[in-house]
Amino acid sequence: MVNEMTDAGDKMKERANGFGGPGVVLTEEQARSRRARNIAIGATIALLAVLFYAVTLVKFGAAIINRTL
Amino acid sequence: MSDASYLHDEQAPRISVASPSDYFALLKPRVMSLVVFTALAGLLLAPTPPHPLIGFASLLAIAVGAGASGALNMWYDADVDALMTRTRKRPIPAGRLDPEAALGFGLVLATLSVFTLGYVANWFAAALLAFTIFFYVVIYTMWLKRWTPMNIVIGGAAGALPPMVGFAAATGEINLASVVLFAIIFMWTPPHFWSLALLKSEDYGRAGVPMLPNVAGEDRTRLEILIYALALAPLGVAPWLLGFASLAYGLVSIGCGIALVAMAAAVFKQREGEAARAAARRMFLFSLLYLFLLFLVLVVEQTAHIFALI
Repeated sequence: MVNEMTDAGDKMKERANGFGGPGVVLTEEQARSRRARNIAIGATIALLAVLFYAVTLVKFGAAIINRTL
Repeated sequence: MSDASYLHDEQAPRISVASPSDYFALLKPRVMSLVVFTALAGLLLAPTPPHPLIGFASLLAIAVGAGASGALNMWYDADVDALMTRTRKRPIPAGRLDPEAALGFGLVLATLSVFTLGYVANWFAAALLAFTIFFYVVIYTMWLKRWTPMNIVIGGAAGALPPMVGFAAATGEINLASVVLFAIIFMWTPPHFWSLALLKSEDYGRAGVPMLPNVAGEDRTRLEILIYALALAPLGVAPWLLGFASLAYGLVSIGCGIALVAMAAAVFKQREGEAARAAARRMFLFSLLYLFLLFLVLVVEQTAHIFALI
């Protein structure tokens, strides 16, 4: 049973890797720059979300708390 | 064959090694800082300044719009940039960034900046920002720059618009004061860039960009610099004469205007050798200081006015 599961897993890995090839292997420099870009994009999106939230609060003004409870 | 050797194959996917700083360089940070500064002056001229956060977000959107223009300019001009010593270390000609990545980056930022300004400020300011980006990228970069030595004169309108965008962001309209600030930058642009062109005429010639010294000659360029400086000096005083700047601004603008004309006269007079280059270099650097000082005084006194210190 366990052997059957292992075989199925290996086959899936082979398919995912394209006939058992290594897939895309990044060099150290590529991996480093991709990570830096991802961090920059993430930080930018987070800052934009905070900025839009704060701007929306300011645009609503005091009316934002004027609602039926 | 090692596991990673196929990456050197031409069929292998191209994987970028561009860093965030390469993308930041696409925004032309120095130009962007000037845009933010002049837009801030326009924004502070509003009779009722916006909420600080709205003002900050508006300036951020204007800055990103200017950065997007820079990225799209670098995408289109990559071939020219590669031929000029001044620009060949930019991310695309240096091979650190694909042109397609710069194009996508510029288009996304342009769209984001316009819609952000529309949301945080108003849609008139957003339309004006969109027009500014369009003018810089399409009218200046794609059309005028490689076609006519008047590229800087007409294209300068794009760099002159930020104070009007800033004022529009705060008020939803434009007024005479913001048009005067536009006119000052518009008249400032040609003598500033022609001074640089005198120093880098070989560069522009190699790249085939028809700057005035290459097309009409250095003597004609020196005359044009003097004429524009003579027109700019009184125009720089206009904010005081029209009553939207203080006497302090008036004195600074008169003093700087006299110095600017004196340096333009030196450029006109010194035509040979190292003295000519030194005069052009001084004019180029002082013109930067001139614009910075004028707008600095405006920003300081408008800020002081807002905090009711004067």
